[in-house]
Parts: sequence; C-alpha cells; structure tokens
Amino acid sequence: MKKSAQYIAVALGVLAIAGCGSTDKAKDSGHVENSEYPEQVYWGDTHVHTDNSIDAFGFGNRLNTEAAMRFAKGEPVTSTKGVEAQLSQPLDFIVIADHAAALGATKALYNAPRIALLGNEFLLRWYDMMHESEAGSLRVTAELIDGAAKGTLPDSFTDQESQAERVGELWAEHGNIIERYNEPGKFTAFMGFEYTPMPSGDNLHRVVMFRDNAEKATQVIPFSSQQSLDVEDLWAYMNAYEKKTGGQMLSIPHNSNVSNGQMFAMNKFDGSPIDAAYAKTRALREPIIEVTQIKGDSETHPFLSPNDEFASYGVAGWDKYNLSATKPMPESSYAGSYAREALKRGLLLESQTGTNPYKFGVIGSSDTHTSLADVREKNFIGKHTGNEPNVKERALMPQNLGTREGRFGWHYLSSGYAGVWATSNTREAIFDAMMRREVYATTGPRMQVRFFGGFDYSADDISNLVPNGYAKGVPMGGDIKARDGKARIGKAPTFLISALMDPESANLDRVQIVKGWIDSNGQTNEKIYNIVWGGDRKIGSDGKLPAVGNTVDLTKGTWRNDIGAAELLAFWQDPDFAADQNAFYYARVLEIPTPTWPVYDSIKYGFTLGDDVIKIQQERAYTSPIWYNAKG
Amino acid sequence: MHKLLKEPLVHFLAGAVLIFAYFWLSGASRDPSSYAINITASDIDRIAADAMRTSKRLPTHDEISALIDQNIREEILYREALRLGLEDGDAIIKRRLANKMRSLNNADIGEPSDRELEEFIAQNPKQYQDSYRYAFNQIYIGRSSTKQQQQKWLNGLRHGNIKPDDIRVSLSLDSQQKLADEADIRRKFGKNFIDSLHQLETHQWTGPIESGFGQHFIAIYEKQAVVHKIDDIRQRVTNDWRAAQIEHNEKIAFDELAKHYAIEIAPFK
Repeated sequence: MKKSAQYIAVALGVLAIAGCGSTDKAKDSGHVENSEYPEQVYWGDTHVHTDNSIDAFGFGNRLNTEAAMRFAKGEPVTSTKGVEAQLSQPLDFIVIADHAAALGATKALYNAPRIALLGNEFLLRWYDMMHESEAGSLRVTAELIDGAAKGTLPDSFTDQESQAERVGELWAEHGNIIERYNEPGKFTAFMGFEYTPMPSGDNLHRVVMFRDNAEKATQVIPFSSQQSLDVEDLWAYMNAYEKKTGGQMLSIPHNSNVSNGQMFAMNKFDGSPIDAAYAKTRALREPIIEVTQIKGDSETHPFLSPNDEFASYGVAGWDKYNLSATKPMPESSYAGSYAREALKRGLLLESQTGTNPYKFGVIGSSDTHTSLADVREKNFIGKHTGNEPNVKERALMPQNLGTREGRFGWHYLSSGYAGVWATSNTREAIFDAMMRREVYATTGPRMQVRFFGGFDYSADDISNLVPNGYAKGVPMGGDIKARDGKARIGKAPTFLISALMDPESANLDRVQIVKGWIDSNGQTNEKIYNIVWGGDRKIGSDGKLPAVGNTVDLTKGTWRNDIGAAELLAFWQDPDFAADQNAFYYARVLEIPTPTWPVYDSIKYGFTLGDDVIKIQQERAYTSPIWYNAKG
Repeated sequence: MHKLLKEPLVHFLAGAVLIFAYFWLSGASRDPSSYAINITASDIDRIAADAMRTSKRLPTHDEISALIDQNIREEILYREALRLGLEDGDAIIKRRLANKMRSLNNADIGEPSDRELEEFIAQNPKQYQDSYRYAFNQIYIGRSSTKQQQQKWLNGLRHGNIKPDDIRVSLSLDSQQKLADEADIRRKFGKNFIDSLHQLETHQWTGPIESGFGQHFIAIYEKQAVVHKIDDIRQRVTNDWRAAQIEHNEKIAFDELAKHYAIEIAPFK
C-alpha cells in the first residue's frame, strides 16, 4: 500500500510540491514566554480556503497551503490569475479551513489520468469540462455546490469511508506544511477544516480548529457534512477527539446571515426544543462565531434593529435568499440569522433551560477561496479565483450563487479579520483566548479595541486603562455577576473602553455600546448608546449623534483623516440598569466613511458604478460581549 | 488497504499506474500505434467495479459488455486520433502534459544543511540582514499643527525650553519605545513611519515624521543593525530555501530541455 500510495502521489503530482521531506518534529511552544495579561492584539484569519477545497479548486485556485502560509506571513505571492499580492502588515496566525467534504477531490479528479475515469461517465464529464476551459471549470463548481445542497453528489465525493484513505494522506501532508510554518512566538499556524452542512441550501457552516500540533490532529480526519448534517454529531466527534488525544477543539459558526434562520434557531436540528444538555454543549463547543466575512455581515439587520442607523452594513445581497439561493428567506427568519438577536435569544433560552447556548464572542475572518487572506478594500483579491482583480468588471458581474436573485460582485465585502487578546503568539495562548472569548471582529482595518466591565471602575481608571481594566473587572468575553459588585444596592455596572485607529486606515467616528437584556416580562430588548466620538458633535433631541461627515473622493479613492479621531477612550456606566435582569454589553467601533473596493476597481479600469452599488461605507469593529448575570 | 481498494479515485489511479507499470516493467511496450486491443480479466474487473460505484449494484452481463464496447470504441478512436496527429495543436492536451512535466521535477527536495542555509542567506542578504532595531522617544503632536509651529517646537525641544509634555497630544502609544525590530515598529505606527525613521539622525529631537496617526517628534537613542543568527531564523530560511529550490529545480529541468531547441521568433510590435 505504501508503494502504491507513492505511485499515486507521483501520478497525481499533487503532493510533490508539498514536500515529502523528513517529517518535522513538532515544535513546542514551551520556550515562549506568556505575558501576565494580554498586552498585544494578535491578528489572524481563521477561514482561508486553498486548492484543497473542492469549490476553490473548481473556481480555478491553484495556490496551495504553502502559498497561503507565505502570504499570511507577509511575503509577496502571485495569485492564480497573476496578480502580485502582498499584505501591508503580516498576520500573526492563520487557520486553513478547507472543506472537509470531498477534501482535495476536485484537485485529484483534475490531475487524474483521463484513462482512469473512462468507466465513470459522471466524473468523466466533470473532468472534461474542467479541462476544457475556465468557464467549464466554473460550471463544474456551480454543479458541485448545487449538488452538495441537494445531496446529489457522486459517491466518490461523498462517501466518507471510501474517501478516508485519500483524505488521510492529504491531511497528513497538510499537517507537515502546517508544522513547518508554525513558529511559536512569531507566527501561529493552526490545524483546522470547515464542516459544511447546508440542508436545502441553508448555511450551517462551521470552521473547526485544533489547539494541538499536527501529530495529534492527524489522529483523526476532518469531520464532514457528508457524515452528518446535525451539528451535534460534530460536537460528538470533537468530544471523541479530545478523549482520544487529550487535545482540544473549538467550532466557529459563520454566515448565519444566509442560514434562513437556522443558525441560531430556538430548536435543535431534529426540531425539538433546545434543552439544557444541548445548551451546555453548544456554549462549550462554540465559544465564538465569525460575525463578518466576504459573504456579508451578520451582526444585525435593519428589520431587527430599526433604531440602529448602522444596521445595514453588509446586508445587501445576502438577506433575500439562503446560501445557495434555492430558498427565499422571509423577514420572520432573520431572528435566527443575526448575532445580536441570537445573543438576546441566548438570554431567553437561559431563562428557560438554565444555560445560555448562544453565549458567544465574535471574530471576523475572510472565507477567501483564493488562498490569500487580504481584506484591505484597496487590494481586494476576491472571493474566489473567478473574481480576482484581473476581471475588469467583477464588481458588476453576476455571481454563481444566486445570480437570478440579484447577487452581484459588489455584494461581496472585503471583510474580516480576527483580533485576539492573547498572552503570546502561540497555538495555546490564542486558542485559550478564543475559549474565554477575549476576541473581537473587524471588517478589515486593524483598530485596537479594549473593553472591560465590572462594578468598580471610575473615570480616573482611563489614564491607566489596561492594568486597571484587568485588576478591577473582566475583559471582553467575560462575566460580571451581581454578587461581585454592589448590584444588590443598586449600583450599575461600569465599563472602560479604548479604541485606537489602524495607522494604515481611517480615523474613528465613534464608539457605541450595544446592550441587550431580558425584562421582567421575559421580553428581550436592545439599546444602543453612543459613548464617545471624534469632533465637536452633540447628541440631538432625537437621541442620535449627528453623522461624522464625509471626506471621500470617489474619483480618487481617497479620504482625509481630518474628521473623527485617532483614538477614543471612555468610562461608561449603564444609566438604565436593572439589577434583576440579565444583560449583555458589547462595543461597536465605527471608522469614518471610506470607499468600498468596487470604487478602487472602477478607478483602476475606468468604468462607472451604478447608483445601486454601495460606494462608501463605515468599517467597524465588534467586541465580544460582557454578560451580566443577575443570579450569578 | 481494504478501504483504499474501495475508493474509486484511488481505484482509477491504481489502474492507471498498473497500466503504466506494465509498460515500463514488461518492456513489452504495447505500441499505441498497434492494432491489437487486449481487454484483460483485470480490466473487466475494474470496469465492473466502476459501474457498481455509479449504480450501487452489480452490473449485468449486458451492461459490462456495453461498457467494454465503450472502452474499446474510445481506445480505437484515441489511437486513430494519434495516428492522424490530432493531439498536435490541442491546447488542452498541451497544457496537461506540460503541467505533468513540471510536477515531475519536484518530487523530493529533502532537508537543507546549515551550510546550504548559510549560503542561501549570503545570496539573499536583503531578505535577512537589511534591518535595524530602534529605541526612541516620541512626542505625538496630532495632525493639525503648521510647519512654522513645528519648527518652533523642534527648536524649543532641542534647547530644552519646551518639555515633551508641553506639546504632546494624548494617544495610547508609549512615549518611550523600547528596543524593537522593524516589524514591531511598523505594526504600531504603520508602514510609512519606518521608512522615515531610517532617515533620521540619532541622539537628538528630530522630525516631525508622519505615522498613520499624525505627526511625531522623534529622538532615537539606540539604533542597532540586526545580524541574524541562523538558529533565530532557521525555520523561515528553510521555507524560503525550499520555495527557491522548487523554482530552481523547475528552471534547471526546463533549461536542460530547452537547450535542445532552436527557437526563432518573428519580430513583433
């Protein structure tokens, strides 16, 4: 078998570049010193697809894990379509999250000798289409995604048992590359994959990541949606892995916005109501979600948050139909599709079951299918290889998913990254920070955001915000409990917040705190407070802070940092606190208006964007919440 | 092994490998231009197994027979096509074969020795040595001061009649930056800042220079050229070396082939 495996590797030419050299010893991060508390935010992308993802390869991506690593570390890499790409600042960590379902299958199919496929008309047709032209390859990918949604993929793509050997070898090779690029203290490469259940096209996808080295992670193979569409089976797999290896895993849901209300439903996959056991497992296994990415933003929707004038960011193109655009999504489904409402539902479910299943922190990540994790508007590489910057009017072109329903190139956001407050740049420290939810999401810019809650802060604490923040309360992702403070005698919780602009991006408009709570009638509510802002503005009689203004020049793709502020710091105390009501608080930081990526494309190629295309946006960061528990 | 045998792609590939292996090992070299077609028992097993994959049941005798006919038909047309030279000028076939050739050259690269790494560093000094560590004091003065004002402040700082805190605009950046390498400084202050920093004189207040936040007066009190020790950057160099090696191997292999060709290109605009 060893021998035949080698032949296959040569015949495929797939693994050759991955390097079959001696296996690297797992490097240990023992020598890396951890700081007493998180001193630095580490930036990463937990959601990068390479040519091992069936759809990425089908879209034309020919960059492998190695290229993805080099790019994330800041080196120049030429994209599949010949675009010279480089990050302006390196990333600190990365999770390659290729689809577990049919991992590496399109690549293997493409590289197989044609003669070997003669007996299988189905695969042969795809093989020929892929080799015929790029358009053919895109058609195959569309059929793949469609087939995955409808459950009509051929056995060789879906049957886990028959895939196990191929996937096992590929996974082991992948592990070697990951270990080669993981440098404790400098750059962290995680083992991970994407679990991609999509019943009827409703997106229930998760990125799954390991805390451990490849030696442990390769003791299992990635769990695929072909094994089960029920996420509880994924959690069971994670549990089994942990028992077997002593390792640790977590799961990160994403694109709840195209889940048709299923991601944060009030019931389990089988339709029965969420119970305490489910709630506990979910909270343990899914401590964070990916709230913003290329396929839209899932914070909230204007329908759910009519009083939030910033609720529409990243909604256009993604709120009418589910992921595969096979089903329309009614407004009534939105409550189960957006994070803010899910946090509120969590409080409700907690009151019913005793445990909050939706007690999650938030990160952003790209979900790029180009292997290249760059989400700067000015250099948006694209969602996939079919819409890289070499395609002149990619912003205006219909997309494979949901063309008929009016999803166009410009609906893709050049978003998101994950900010992690960890005590060192190691797998252990970053993973542990995710488990305690000391993380936040941005739509691309790397603004530094701190957020602390407790009962003992005062305005004086701002001058030494970080040490005081940790000494007297909890950071983002934490819990404050009635018994910790003087809540019983009516003192409201206090918060410290600081937001420093990304020095390569725009000034900040404002910092807001979003509060959600459950009242004595069992109803959930939300309110947004403007806490601190740049420039000389006063809150109006309608309770709203006037807009910061706009300096964007659409003909040049520029803006001026002479409105807003480079940094915003604040102490805040909840003016509407009720000690007997559970609540959560998270911060939202808005940049001043800047151009969207289609504007840069239109300038570069000299074409005109229609009126419907969003050209100016306010990029933002969302922190993980801090929860107040009245009975805690 | 058992599972492997059931995996269709592997099955196909193994079948192909066997066919190739047969040609290589037997030396019998079934000439593709011959007119003999021999469908062996193992060919039939493969055809039947493939059919089972698609239909999830044993194929009937007739179905197998039809599939064999299909195979034979394709083989005959394939050979006739080769005889007619139809593969010539087919862009798809050309690209496929070219890609196969490329991947043959990088089957095994192995691990570099320290010496190889040191040589690699020496050949690429810019990548590894052209950097500094800095320690400096900085005064952030925002974005709105005039050139005239800045000149006045700089004079004051240099003569000691303006204290840094007199003009400093508050911002959560250390006023004293401890010794840090370029990547750390770039991360904190943005990309352009570091380029300006390289130009500054040391041991006195200079500037202002611009970061993403605005203007800063700077007093560099330490500037160290960085000399990397191999152990500090081993992993990075090894990865770079490997990438270079792949490129190099492809080039060598290509050049070796290319030198047998006489190439003429007509002039063009």
